[in-house]
Amino acid sequence: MKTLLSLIVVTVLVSSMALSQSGGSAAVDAVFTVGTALAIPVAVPGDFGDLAPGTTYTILSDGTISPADVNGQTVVLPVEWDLAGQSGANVAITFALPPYFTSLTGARVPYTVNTQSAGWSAFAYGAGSAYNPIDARVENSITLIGGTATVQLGGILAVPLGADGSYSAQFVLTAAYTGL
Amino acid sequence: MEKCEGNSTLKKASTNQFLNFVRHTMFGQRRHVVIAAFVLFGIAYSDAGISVYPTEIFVVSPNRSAPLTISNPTDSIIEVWVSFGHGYPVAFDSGKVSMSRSDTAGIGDLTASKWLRVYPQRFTLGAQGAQVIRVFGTPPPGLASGEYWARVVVSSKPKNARLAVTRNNQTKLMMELVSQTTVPYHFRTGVVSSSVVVKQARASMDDGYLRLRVDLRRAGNAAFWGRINYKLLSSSGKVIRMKDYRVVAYKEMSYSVLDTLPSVYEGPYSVELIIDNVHPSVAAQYRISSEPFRQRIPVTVP
Repeated sequence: MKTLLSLIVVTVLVSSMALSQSGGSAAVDAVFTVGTALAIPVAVPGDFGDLAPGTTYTILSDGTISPADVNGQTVVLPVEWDLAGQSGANVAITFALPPYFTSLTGARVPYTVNTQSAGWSAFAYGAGSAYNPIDARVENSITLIGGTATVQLGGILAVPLGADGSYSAQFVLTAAYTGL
Repeated sequence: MEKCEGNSTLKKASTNQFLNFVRHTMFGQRRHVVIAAFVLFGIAYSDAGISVYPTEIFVVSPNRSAPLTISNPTDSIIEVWVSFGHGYPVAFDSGKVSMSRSDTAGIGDLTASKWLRVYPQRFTLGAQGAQVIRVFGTPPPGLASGEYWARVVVSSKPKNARLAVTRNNQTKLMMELVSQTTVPYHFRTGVVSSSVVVKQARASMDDGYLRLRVDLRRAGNAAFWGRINYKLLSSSGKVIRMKDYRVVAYKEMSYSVLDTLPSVYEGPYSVELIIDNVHPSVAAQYRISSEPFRQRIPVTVP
C-alpha cells in the first residue's frame, strides 16, 4: 500500500514538473526516485511520574521505574518514537540527549542513560515481537521489520534535595536510511 | 496546591488529563495499552512527527534544484527547519553499518553542504499538512568532475509547549521531542563513474545458516548504489536459494549476511555472487553504468 502511495505521489509530482516545464526553460528539476518515505509518525513525550527530591530513579526502556514514584507507580511512560518506512530497510538512529532537565529558575535534575535505558521492537502493540536493547549513547542500526519500528527510552534521574516543580529538557532522535 | 506552567492550550490539558485517567484508572499502567487506546479512540498524542520524500536526492548538472516534500503525520502543529550536514554509511570489520556524520567533510570528500540552500528553511505545518521545499545548489565555478555529497537534515518539534502540573515537594519532568530525518544529497557534474572492487568475499554453511561476507571498496568518483545478488547452487548447478540485498558504498563497506537455509545434504555447493548497479530506490536515469561483478565461491556442508 505504501509503495502504491509512493508511486502515486511520484506520478503526480513528475506530472506537475512536466507541466511546469512547459514554459520552455532548459533547466529541469531532478526527477524523484521511487522509494518509501522514512517517517516518524509518532513521537510521544514520556511521563516519568511524580518524583521525590533526594532520590535517584532508574527508568528502563519498558517504563519500569525503580524505586516507585511518589504515587507508588512502578511503571511509567518512557519516551517513544515510532518509525515507518520501507519494509526490511535498515535505519541508523542517533539520540541527542540532555545532560539535565532545567526549571524556569535554572535548577537542574541530572539525566543519564545506560545500556538498559533504550530499546526497539518491530511493532509496539504486537505480542511476541522481539525487543532489542540498544545503547542510546552511541549510534544504532535498526530494521523496519514489516515497515515499522518503535524506539523507547527511559533513563536515570538523580533528583536533588530541594527539587520542586516542573523541569524540562529537549530530546532529539535522528533517523536515516542507510540505503541497505 | 497546584502549580501550572507553560502556555499550552486547554485541548492539550484535556489530553494530559485523559492520559492520566487512562493510565491510572482504566488500564492500569501498561504503556502499550494506553497508546493503543489513543489509537483506537482517535486521539492524537504525538508531539513531533515528520515524513520526508524522496529518500535520496540526485541532481545532475546543469540542473541546480530538487524538490523535497515534508509532511506532518500528526494532528499537532509542528515547527520544521532544514539544515545541511555531511555523512554517509560506513561499515566496520564487525559488519555493523553506521552513519559517518559531521558538519564538515572528511579528508578527500567532495562536499556540497557549503553551497546548498533551501527555501523555505523554516516553517510551520498544521495537522496532517505538507510543504514542498526546494533544495538548490550554487556550486562554485570551475567545479571538478565528480559527485558532491551532503545530507539534508529535516527537524521538527511541537509548536506549543506542553502543560506541566505539579504538587508541592514533587518534581515533574517535561520533555520536548525533536524528530529528525536526514536525506542523502548527490550533485553530479562532469564525467562521473562508479563501480565496486571486491577485496574479499567469503561464504560458509553450517547449522542451517549461510554466512556471506563481502568486503568491497568503491571505485570511480561517485557513490555506488546497487545490489548484491547471491545464488546457492547445488553441485549440478540447480538454484537452491536466491536473494538480493541492497548495497551502498560511498567509500569502503563490509557486508555480513546471515541467511537461514532449507535442509540440504552434506556435500559440495557453490555461491554465485553478482553485484550490479540496480538499487531498488534509485531511478534508472540515475544509475551509473558499470560492469556487474561476478564471483563463484565453493562451499561445503560438513
